[in-house]
Amino acid sequence: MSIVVQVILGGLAIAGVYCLIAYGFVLCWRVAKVLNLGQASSGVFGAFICLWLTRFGIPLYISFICGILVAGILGLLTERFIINPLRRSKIIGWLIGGLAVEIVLRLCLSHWWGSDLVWFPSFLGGQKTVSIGGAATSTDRLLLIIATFFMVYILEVIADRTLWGKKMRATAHDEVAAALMGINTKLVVMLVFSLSAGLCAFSVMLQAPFTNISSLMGFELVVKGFAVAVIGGLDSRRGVIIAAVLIGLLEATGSLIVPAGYRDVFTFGTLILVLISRPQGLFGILELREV
Amino acid sequence: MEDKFVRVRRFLAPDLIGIYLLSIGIVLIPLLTGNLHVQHLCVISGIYIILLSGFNLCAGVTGLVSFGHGALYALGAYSTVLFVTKAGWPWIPSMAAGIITALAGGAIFAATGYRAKAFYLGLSTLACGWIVFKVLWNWIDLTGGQPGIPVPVASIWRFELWESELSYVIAGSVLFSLVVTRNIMHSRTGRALKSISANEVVASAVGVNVPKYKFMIFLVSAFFAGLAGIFYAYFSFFIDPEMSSLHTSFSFVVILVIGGWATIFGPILGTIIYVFFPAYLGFLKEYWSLLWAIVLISILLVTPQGLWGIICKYAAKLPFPRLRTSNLQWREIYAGARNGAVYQANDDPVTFEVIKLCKNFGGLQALKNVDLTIKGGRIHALIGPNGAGKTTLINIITGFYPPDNGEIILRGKRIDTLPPHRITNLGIARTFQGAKICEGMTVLDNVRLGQHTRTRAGIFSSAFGTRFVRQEEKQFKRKAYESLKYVDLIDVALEPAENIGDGQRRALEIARALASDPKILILDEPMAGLTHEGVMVVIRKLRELRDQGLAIFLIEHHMEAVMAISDIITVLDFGMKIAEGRPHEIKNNEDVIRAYLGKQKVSVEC
Repeated sequence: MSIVVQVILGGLAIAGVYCLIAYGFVLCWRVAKVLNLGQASSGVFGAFICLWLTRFGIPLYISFICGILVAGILGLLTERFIINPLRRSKIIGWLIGGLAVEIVLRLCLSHWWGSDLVWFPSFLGGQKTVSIGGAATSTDRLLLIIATFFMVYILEVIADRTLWGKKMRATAHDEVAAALMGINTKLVVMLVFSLSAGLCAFSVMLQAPFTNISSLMGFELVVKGFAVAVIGGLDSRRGVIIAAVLIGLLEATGSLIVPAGYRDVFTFGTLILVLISRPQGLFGILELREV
Repeated sequence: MEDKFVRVRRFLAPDLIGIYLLSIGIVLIPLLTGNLHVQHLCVISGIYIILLSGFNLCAGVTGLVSFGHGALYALGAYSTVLFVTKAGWPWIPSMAAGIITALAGGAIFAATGYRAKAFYLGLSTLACGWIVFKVLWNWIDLTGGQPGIPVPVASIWRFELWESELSYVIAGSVLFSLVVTRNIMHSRTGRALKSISANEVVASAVGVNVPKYKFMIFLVSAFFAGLAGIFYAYFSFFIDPEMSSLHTSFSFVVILVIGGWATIFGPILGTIIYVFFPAYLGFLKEYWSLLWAIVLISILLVTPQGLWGIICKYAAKLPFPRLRTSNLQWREIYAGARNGAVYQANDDPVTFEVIKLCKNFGGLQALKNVDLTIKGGRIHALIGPNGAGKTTLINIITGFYPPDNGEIILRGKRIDTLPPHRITNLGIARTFQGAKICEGMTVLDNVRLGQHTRTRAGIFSSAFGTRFVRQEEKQFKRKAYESLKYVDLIDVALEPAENIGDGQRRALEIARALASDPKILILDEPMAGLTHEGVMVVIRKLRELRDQGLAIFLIEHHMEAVMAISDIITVLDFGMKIAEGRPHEIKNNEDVIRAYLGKQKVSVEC
């Protein structure tokens, strides 16, 4: 019994991390039909900024918000100066450019902090464990699960109920028509890209207390986030949430069976199967080609 | 005498001479300098060039950027070395096994993304490469894990290949891979690949089997990646999982972008910069990776054509017009285009039927039970107000959209489930509303793309330039000149297609459609935006084509022209066929008048 709870909690924690990254991908894809591969590294960058600020005695919650802001600004700059000018490039320049941003940020961080794991303070004032259904789990992990859940809930409400959400959906549906209706689509796209980088920072910092952080983690996160987004369907907000939970549980179960180094094979194996059999994702809709 | 001269000249084209010099240089420069370090750099460049020539076909020419080629490179290297050391196979069979492994890996990589949009492949190869990296890193019993494994010396029978012997083999392979890539780029296959990168819709409309070509070219690049990996292993006597890392895969993209993609010399230039700069600017040490990423971004933003593109731009301004190959080409073009007959008279008139066709988009019924018969030797016009479903009908007929209901029958066979390229192969050619042409290809190449369904040169025969391929090229080149003359584009034949004007684009599209020697020609608004004279020319030419037995089906809003040339007119309104008949019948049909002008009865003068 306790092992089942353990797996579920572990899986949900993994899902929480991937979910927000993938959710950001989906938002970007829907409004701009491009992705920012540098977003996870921007998030990691934000997390290091947060850590750096705490060393000056600034309270963790304030530096947490600063971290998110820095990541958001990085996302915005990437969109404006690299992704957007390369949107129409023939050799998918936006993808190459995004990856280059990822590499630049990662290398800058590793020159600044080295490439080892770095300890990150807990938001709940230290490592504590609670027991749920016979399984001991750290409170940080629970915080990640709960906070992610709330974040996703808030984002869904914003997307469905608010004016900005409406603007976002209008831009996603037809950018030109939305612009003709007086929506500043450029601003919408910019905000969505910075939001998705900010979300990455949010989830990186929430997982940091129990996994620690390293300057190199951005790449793995972005690839996993992409895998989750594609498995769920790049155009389906709800789809990626379900896919994140599926992949989280799969990885948590998988790590009981195989050695730790092979845990990723489950995720990527699923990704390859989905791409071969259903390229639009489990919950995505196949687009008609524009003729 | 003349023949012999031509045969020799074929091997002395300027780009080939460049390739020969480069291959010789890889062996000769180290011999002249006698410096081991230089030898190392030259041979490493050679290895990169082998890989890049394949990668360029896939990422540069076709637009399938992959971030997993490092993994294929490592797969070739590791499996060859493991077959030699663990299974005890001799070197040559192990090499074959290594290449087969790389090809198998390439097939799996390609399978994940060849049917979707190009960027899916970019991201899925990133994930696939990551898996290979993880396996090489973690499967310590087999691969030696992170520290890597030493590689024994390569040997054929008892003859051992140390660095200098191997450098000859590598130089030979550089020659081979560059010549093969060059031949492919200038062939039917190359044009098909370029069209995929320029516009997949056009590619499938001219009959290119897009997924098949994407898959095939990825395998070709996997072959070169595997080969390069093997050479790297046996030249440096050591391999480690770093070979399959993102860093390696990314370096190939960096080289391609810095040098200039889709050209032969761009990747070579990029390789030389990538290999030699860090070797002589050692003080930058660990900052090189950072620097490459920044250089990559700047080149993408500032000059997407890469450094070779800049060189070509300035070279074109140099005052040596005699050296330009284009002069020869122009002479050939004007000589070849003497008689402007493009369409072979068709004595087997075709019939084509559409029966009860329906199509819904969400809640909107775009087409409701449309029936239609198109016959050879007849101009059939489709008219109707905006949003009546005319273009949708064409898109369904040509296989771009699947119909919800109904049948499409060509010569007694149902064709409504076939993909666009198969339909083009059956002799149905189309143009697009607003003229879709392949930018980045010349006007001539756009027309030659239209010949895709009539020509047969495959990738292997193109790669080795067989006699069959050369004859086919020669024969169809002449036909292309004639088509260009027919539509009056001969003077811009060598111009990049994006530089020509709007009317010329339409003419080019029609020439491209005619180049496939169709039985049915489908035109979507061929006269939109033309001047009066332009319309007259189009009318005259369409009549000529009709008289030769071609079936022409056109959508047009220019009523005067429609009434003048059509043999039969079908009118669509809100997805329904409301009238069909000869022009004078349509002119006086009350339903038609109501659809165009509203309820009140007004007399129209067309």
